[in-house]
Amino acid sequence: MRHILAVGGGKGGSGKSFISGNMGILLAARGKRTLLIDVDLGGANLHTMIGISYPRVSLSDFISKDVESLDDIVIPTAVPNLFLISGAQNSLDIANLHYQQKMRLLKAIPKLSFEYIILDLGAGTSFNTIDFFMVSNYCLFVTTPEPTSIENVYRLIRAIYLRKIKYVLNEDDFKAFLDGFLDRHKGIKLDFLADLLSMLHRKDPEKAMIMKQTLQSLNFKLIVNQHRKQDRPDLGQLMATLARKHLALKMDFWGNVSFDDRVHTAICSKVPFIQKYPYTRTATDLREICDSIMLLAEQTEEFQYAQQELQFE
Amino acid sequence: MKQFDQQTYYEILDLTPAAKPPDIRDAYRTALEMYQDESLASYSFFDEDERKTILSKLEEAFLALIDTDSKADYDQDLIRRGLINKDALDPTAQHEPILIDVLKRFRRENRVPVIRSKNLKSREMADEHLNNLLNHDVITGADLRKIRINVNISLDQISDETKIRTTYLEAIENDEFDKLPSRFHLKSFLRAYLKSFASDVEPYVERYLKRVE
Ligand SMILES: Nc1ncnc2c1ncn2[C@@H]1O[C@H](COP(=O)(O)OP(=O)(O)OP(=O)(O)O)[C@@H](O)[C@H]1O
Ligand SMILES: [Mg+2]
Repeated sequence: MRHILAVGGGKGGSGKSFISGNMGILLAARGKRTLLIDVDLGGANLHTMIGISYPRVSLSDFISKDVESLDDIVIPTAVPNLFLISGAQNSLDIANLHYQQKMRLLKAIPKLSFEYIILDLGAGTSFNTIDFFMVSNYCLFVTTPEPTSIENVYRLIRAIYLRKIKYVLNEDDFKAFLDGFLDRHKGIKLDFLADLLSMLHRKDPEKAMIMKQTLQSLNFKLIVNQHRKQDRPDLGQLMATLARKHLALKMDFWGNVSFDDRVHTAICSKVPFIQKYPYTRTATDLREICDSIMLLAEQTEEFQYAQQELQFE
Repeated sequence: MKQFDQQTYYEILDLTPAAKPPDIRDAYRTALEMYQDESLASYSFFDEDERKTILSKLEEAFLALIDTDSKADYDQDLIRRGLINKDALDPTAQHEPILIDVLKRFRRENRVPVIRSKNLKSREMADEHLNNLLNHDVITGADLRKIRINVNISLDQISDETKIRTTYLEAIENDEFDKLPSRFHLKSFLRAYLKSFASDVEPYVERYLKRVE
């Protein structure tokens, strides 16, 4: 089974590429065939994070149709089992991809045969970026313990959330209903979901049920990166609780990744942090997150397997 | 899903009706940490009016519940309105884990890595020893015990950290597979055991389990 993990979050360097790159290395070291895709067109630097200075080919070759298949732009890395599709040399910003270009890319990604595919989605919350979250199995948000970063993460969560709602209410008569509703509820306010569900229930109880289930099926994970000793350890836990209580969605807090000055040193020397400094608190934190990814993947597989069994009965 | 002002005080504070004053105080404190103006966790989540609404409701809930007489009145009212069941007031009643438990557990668990980070040196040593085992096709419990003793970690320490009974840990080191409840337990206990002194556990888990059919 293929596990697609999208990594996103606030702008201003919360550590999305740092986490993506190091997760790729850890998963590969555990024998998992892993592909990193740098979808942060315009801001691509994931290749540098894993020690590749000049990627030969990149997504721009695919987007400009110079190559047919994504497989042709997969480059091997110095780490066995780890591969990269670079986003470098791209003059396009992801927000400006044409519809056809985007759809071609979106359809090609799930066809790649790797055990784990990690998408570094950069800081965007554009329409196009949200599409990439939608094709992923899991959404991982990276924030720092700073209000600016937290604000961005909440904006991203709301954008994905709203897209899901629109997706459920896609038929014509529901579209009008939703537009009217959104007009009255500017932003996603305190009673947004409770109101939406109760009004929808009056219109179509079955649809209201589907809505609730769809939103609950969102699989959000949260990491607090660059965590310093003086920061509260349970910040991420409180954020996850808020999302559950007020947006009725499941968000698991996957832990803090400690701040370490040597991250800067590692990046400057173009050696992946986890390889240069494996015996640091930060490295231990990263390994724990890798464990969480693998555990989640295992559970998902077991769940799907059990469902298949049920179908045969 | 209920509108905010339709929620009971218990729902607002993430409590069950059987909550005792210390629980109520804890829950109120946590809620304040989440909702008050300076709270980082809810930064930009609510606008000013919403935050005011929530905070005044929280205070109202706290004051109503912390006083035993007023709580009793409130409970009677909820029972009359059919919002809670009389049995819900029974402290021995089974209930879902409430937020405060989850947070307490999280805080407890979160201390573990601090202890572990002190052991980074011994982890490095353990990794070196373990690395040598990678040439072997299979790994035995005795191999693991040797390394654990070498880096000076006792089974009791591991049991403390992992919450796995020492007898099970001993069974792992003695290759007594049938002493563990199931194959699934064996795998997950083995992982936890290894994690308490090694960095990367999967290759060793795999080599160890090769001997179990
Ligand atoms: N755990 C950490 N400890 C110390 N510094 C860190 C840590 N994580 C990231 N950094 C620093 O933050 C910088 C930005 O990290 P990174 O490039 O991964 O952010 P990003 O979220 O991908 O940013 P962008 O939105 O620009 O793509 C890094 O260059 C590094 O110096
Ligand atoms: Mg980046």
